[in-house]
Amino acid sequence: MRFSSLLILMLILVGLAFTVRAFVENTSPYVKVRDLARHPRNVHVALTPIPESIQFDIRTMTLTFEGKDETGTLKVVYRQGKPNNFEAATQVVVIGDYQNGVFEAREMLVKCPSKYQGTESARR
Amino acid sequence: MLIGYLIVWLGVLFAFVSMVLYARSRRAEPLRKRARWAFVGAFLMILAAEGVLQYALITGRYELQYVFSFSERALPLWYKIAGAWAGQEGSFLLWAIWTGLYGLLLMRTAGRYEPWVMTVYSAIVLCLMGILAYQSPFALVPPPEDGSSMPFPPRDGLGLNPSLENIWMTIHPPIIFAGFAALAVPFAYAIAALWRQEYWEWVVRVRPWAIYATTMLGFGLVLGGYWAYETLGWGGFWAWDPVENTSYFPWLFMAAAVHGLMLQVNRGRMTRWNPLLCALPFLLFVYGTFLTRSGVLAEVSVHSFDALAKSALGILLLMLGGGTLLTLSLWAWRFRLCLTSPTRQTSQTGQTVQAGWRFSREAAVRWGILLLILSALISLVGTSWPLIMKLVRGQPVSLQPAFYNQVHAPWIVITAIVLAAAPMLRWSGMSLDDILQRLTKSWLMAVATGFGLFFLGFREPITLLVVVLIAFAAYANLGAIWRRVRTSRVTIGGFLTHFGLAVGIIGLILSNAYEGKQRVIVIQGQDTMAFGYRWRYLGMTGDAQKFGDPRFDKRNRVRIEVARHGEKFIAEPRFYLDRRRVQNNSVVWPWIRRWWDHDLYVSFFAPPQVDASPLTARLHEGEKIQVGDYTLRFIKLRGEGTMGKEGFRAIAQVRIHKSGWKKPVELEPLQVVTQNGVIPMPIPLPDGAMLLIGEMDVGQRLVEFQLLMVPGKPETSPRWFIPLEVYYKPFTILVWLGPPLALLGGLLAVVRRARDVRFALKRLPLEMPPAQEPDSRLETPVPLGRL
Repeated sequence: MRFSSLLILMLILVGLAFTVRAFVENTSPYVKVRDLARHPRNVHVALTPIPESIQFDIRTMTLTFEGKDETGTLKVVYRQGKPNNFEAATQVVVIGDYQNGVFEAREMLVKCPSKYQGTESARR
Repeated sequence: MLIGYLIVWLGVLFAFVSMVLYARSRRAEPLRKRARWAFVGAFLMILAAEGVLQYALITGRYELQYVFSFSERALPLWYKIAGAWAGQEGSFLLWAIWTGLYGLLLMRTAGRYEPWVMTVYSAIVLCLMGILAYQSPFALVPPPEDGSSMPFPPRDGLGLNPSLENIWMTIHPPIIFAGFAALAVPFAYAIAALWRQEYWEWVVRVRPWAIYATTMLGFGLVLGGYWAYETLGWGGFWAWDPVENTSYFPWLFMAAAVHGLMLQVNRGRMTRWNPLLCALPFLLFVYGTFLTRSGVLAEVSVHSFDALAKSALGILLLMLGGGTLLTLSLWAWRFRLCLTSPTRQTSQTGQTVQAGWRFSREAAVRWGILLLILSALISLVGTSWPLIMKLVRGQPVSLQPAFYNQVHAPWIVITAIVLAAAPMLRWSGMSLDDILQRLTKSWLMAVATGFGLFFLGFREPITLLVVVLIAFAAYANLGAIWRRVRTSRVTIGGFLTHFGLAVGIIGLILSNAYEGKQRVIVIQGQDTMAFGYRWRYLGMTGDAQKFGDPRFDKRNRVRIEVARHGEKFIAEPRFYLDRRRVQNNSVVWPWIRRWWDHDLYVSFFAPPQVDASPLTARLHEGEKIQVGDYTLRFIKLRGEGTMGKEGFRAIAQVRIHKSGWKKPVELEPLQVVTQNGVIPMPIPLPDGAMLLIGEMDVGQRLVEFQLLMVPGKPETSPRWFIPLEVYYKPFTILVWLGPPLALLGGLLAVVRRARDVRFALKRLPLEMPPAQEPDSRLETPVPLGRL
């Protein structure tokens, strides 16, 4: 009985170690443009896209644009096509890695002003 | 809709009266009848509220905010009905309906426990009705602010979110709420047990409920996964989204509680812990509801609902805070008074414990409980992490979903071993030799399965190991079912559930780890190769005439011909741009073709787009080329006027044909030399496109032709770019086979334990021993499970 308990306890400890490692690897904080050099990997950045900078290559479905926050501007590459409400976006949140001065976005959340904001805010 | 408000408030009143009367009827028996009627009244009010909401949805009362937001005239009746659980208020109502229904059953079956259990239970109904009173489904659309062009009151609604228009979505919420609502029963029993200080009878009574809640919640989760796979188009069943997680960790806790109850009934263990284990799942679900409905996760989840109204959120918080405080303090207070677990019991058959290393089923179940709780805690912390970080640092930090997949890999390995061993073990414990002997057959079959998979090409070592271990668990449980089917069929429930789960999990792992995923950008007029198939764009079925763009038609299908030698089919994933809601307006329905051993899953990674840039073709005189849908032959180049001087015209004679035209047309696009330089003169094609000359090299007789498309006008044949994401998913069939077996097993166990209650109670001492004086009779508890 003792031996088996010890064995399984060991297994569980190994499992916990795995958990902590996975946890550290997978947390993705919100970072400002200025701080990207210090936290380049797996971060969220909230940006306002600059309309003139938006370029889209339809053959490779690659979207490049520059976005800014209070601390600076950032060049973003997103290879998942162009979200169809992208032009209307007031803010986007890009998730990915920063390398060689370019932000490679794996995911992008687009926030638009809602048509029905009036009714929604009135409800609260 | 004043009547709706009235009904809900009457419900609040009835629930309150029921709570008070039940609390007082603990000693005053005659009040019980009235308390019952009050509860029935509350239930009728809930039903009436749902009736009114359904009436409003079906008859189209768009002046109601809820109906306006989740329904529309053009919706088929079935989806109008399903609109009742598309939104926040409707799902609270659904929760209330199930809660009320279970309450009626609980009232009849709780026996001696009725006043205590029903007091707690009525309090829950009271809270739910309170939330509905403040977050009312019967609220009216507020008058528009200035400048709005929308008619008021609205004459039509925004319609159901199109991704909810799906058969799975119409059944998933009712089922999962059947599970959620059932969590309230174990909670009520646990509180009642602590209140009465009676720690045996309640276990017998609550057991079928606990198993039922686990089964329904689990099945609801599975249905949610099916829905995600069939409609969301990212090629998987489970995404670890906060909304999913908040149903996942209460489920794990409830499963842990079911096993805890089993240990108490069979072995007299876990007496102290069972009240806590049974109370926690409900509280965790309320906490999860708070997380997803309060808006705190809005920044990290795309799925989170709108925030609740302040007062409704207050009631939810009260439910959470009050419930947690009540449970924990009551439990801590009673903890020392609780019966201490009987001292280590010798085996049931009275054998003395033999020397040497032994492992019993009890130990396996206990480890199982521990693993379930640890796994639940990890998901709980992970889901709460954004909230925790927001409180600590003022800014949310999100946790990538990959976390959960990585974390569950080691846990699942350990769980699989325990799960494989459990059905083979005796309660009294077995020596290692015996265990190994009993497990050999299952283990050999699992290894054989592993080799089979290896030869089929599934070779990634860690995944293969995990799959072999889970297969081991599956075979072991299958063996247990096999042995019992002929002798005692009623006892197979648990094993069948474990078998079904193992099969489903193997399916999830194989289909996820060995998934083939490839991006295929199909361009109109060009063939693309991927997965050994040739992909060709055929067209879209959306009505471009009526909507201006085929993508604006909700029934739009993108037709793609997929072919390889001897095999040809048409993939029709659906794509629709919903313009009524700005936020989430790309709607995708993937297209799935199933074989017995794999799925081909066709979805989009971006919206289909029209290429507005011209088609270009560089041709020498006399050459022919295919551009897009057009065949272009450059017949001859000639000049008019003096070369290089103003007024000189370079004319290219072209024959052009497009599939669908009766015959080719001959055109003469030209360039004119003017004061301002060389200007091309475009010539319209019969379909509205423009043909013009770009650059030319007169000496080489080489001309670059451009075909200008008019974007947004499909009749002029623009070039569509279809950005497909294609998945090859092996063995998804297991994901569809396993869970129904698990459901069947769970329901069998519910029936068995519900039948047990009456017999088991007869065996209990009539007078419950008062907790203050540890009773000698309970030193060796009655092994109820063996009745």
